[in-house]
Amino acid sequence: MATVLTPVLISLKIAFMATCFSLAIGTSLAYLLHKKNDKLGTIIETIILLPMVMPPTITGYLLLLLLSNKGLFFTILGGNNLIFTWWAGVIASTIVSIPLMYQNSKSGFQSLNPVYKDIGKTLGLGRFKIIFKIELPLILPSLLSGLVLSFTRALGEFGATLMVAGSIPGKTRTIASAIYFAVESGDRETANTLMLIMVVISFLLMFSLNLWLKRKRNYN
Amino acid sequence: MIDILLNKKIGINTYNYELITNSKIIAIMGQSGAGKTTFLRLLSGLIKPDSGYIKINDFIMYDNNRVFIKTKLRQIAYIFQHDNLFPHLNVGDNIGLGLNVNQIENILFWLEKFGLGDIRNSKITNLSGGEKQRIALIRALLHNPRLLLLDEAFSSLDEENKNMLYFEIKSVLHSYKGHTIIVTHDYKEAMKLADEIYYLSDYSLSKVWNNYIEGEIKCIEEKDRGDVFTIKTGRLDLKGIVLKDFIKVGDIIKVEIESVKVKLGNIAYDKDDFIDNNLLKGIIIKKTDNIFEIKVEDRVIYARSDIDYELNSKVNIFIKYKNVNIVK
Repeated sequence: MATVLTPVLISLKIAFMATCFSLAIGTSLAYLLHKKNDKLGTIIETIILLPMVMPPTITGYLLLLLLSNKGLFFTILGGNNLIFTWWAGVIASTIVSIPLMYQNSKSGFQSLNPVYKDIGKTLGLGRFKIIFKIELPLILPSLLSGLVLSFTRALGEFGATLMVAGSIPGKTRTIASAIYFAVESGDRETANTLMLIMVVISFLLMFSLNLWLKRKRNYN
Repeated sequence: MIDILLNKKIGINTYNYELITNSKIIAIMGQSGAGKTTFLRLLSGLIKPDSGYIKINDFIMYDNNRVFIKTKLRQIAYIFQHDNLFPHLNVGDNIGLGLNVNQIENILFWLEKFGLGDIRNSKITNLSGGEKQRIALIRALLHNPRLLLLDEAFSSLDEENKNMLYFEIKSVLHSYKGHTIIVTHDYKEAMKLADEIYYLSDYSLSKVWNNYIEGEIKCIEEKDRGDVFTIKTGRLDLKGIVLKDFIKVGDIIKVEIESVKVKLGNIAYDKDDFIDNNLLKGIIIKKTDNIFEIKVEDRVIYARSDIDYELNSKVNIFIKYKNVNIVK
């Protein structure tokens, strides 16, 4: 039972944390960059989207370099070594899910009618009130799509997580790596159960999102 | 008092907006692309002018880059043609956004004043176009704006809805302390709502249907009620009031006569009026609603009158000399 339940809980924990970070980072970057048409904006955007097209092992290897004792992240984190901890899994999942959050929020911001911002200003609202009371609620469908896609992407993350967090049972072994090792060791029962759980969670999330979006569209 | 002088270069065009008036409601007309919306955006602070000033009832919103009050602090309300209300908020929350508690208590009073009833919990998507614009107007007025800007705010409504709204809002706009500037392409709307109408063309503002006449000063007479000058313009002589002491006989000056101050018909005047004022005879050559174009000698004079006159009919025109003013 623990061989199934523990990876599920670890995966959910990592995916939840990664989605929170993706929401904050991806949405902020989308807000800052959605109107930028200059070269610098394009370069930053390309870097943000790169993990979407690169093999996960390359993303993982790059993270390994950054998180290692001589890496940039190691210094930023005050000398804490995160490699082979579940936090490394969170970082890897965040990096691969940010592009999805970014793309969805960006298209949300781009579809916003600029009149709403102007009206907010004439009503005496400051920049943050305009963002939190007007703009973000108006792009809620895009944000929710981004959240669900980021969560499911983080939940199924395998290559990059394996490179930086490994697959330590009870610590960093997620559903994806647990299935891999179960199949490798011939434990069909565990692999089948985990596969089923994964399919059910992903299906339910995507189904709920689509249903909600369709209802909202019909209502409007 | 509205005192505005603004310059803004956009692309290859330089817009010059000059507006000094005491009128409560001003309409601005003009063709598409004439710069009407640009004017409102400059006033609201959504775009920055190159130079000039904006003074509304002694409150300086902008002064030649020394003062630039941000939009949120200008106390300006702006109503657009569409999309004034936030679709994710209900009516009450839409109106209440940015208001303090005391003002929020007045929401129901205003909804009822505009015949909408208690629809505070209604969703925006369930409202008609007319209801949406009424709610936008209530929200705007509850902010006690120094300046209320209406940018083609009623153009998407049908005639019946428009007429009802004009009737409802005219007294409201007159009773609140601020000024209203209406941008419209609909001259009927301008005439029904505004005290003064301006036309925006060649990148600057001028009063609509007012008479601007240039002529040479023939004589200046001293009168008890103020000096009177007479200008000769073509075959027409016009008497006007001397408000500037630097004019002299022989000067070429330009005078302005507001179309509302040109009286038509056979009205009995006292004897004194005939002496210093202008009593002219003309023929109506064109009429557009209550604006008449009248041929007087070799000129055309515009007059606004609620009495209907037939085309080609002869009319008497009476213009008090006090209403013939020198334009600077």
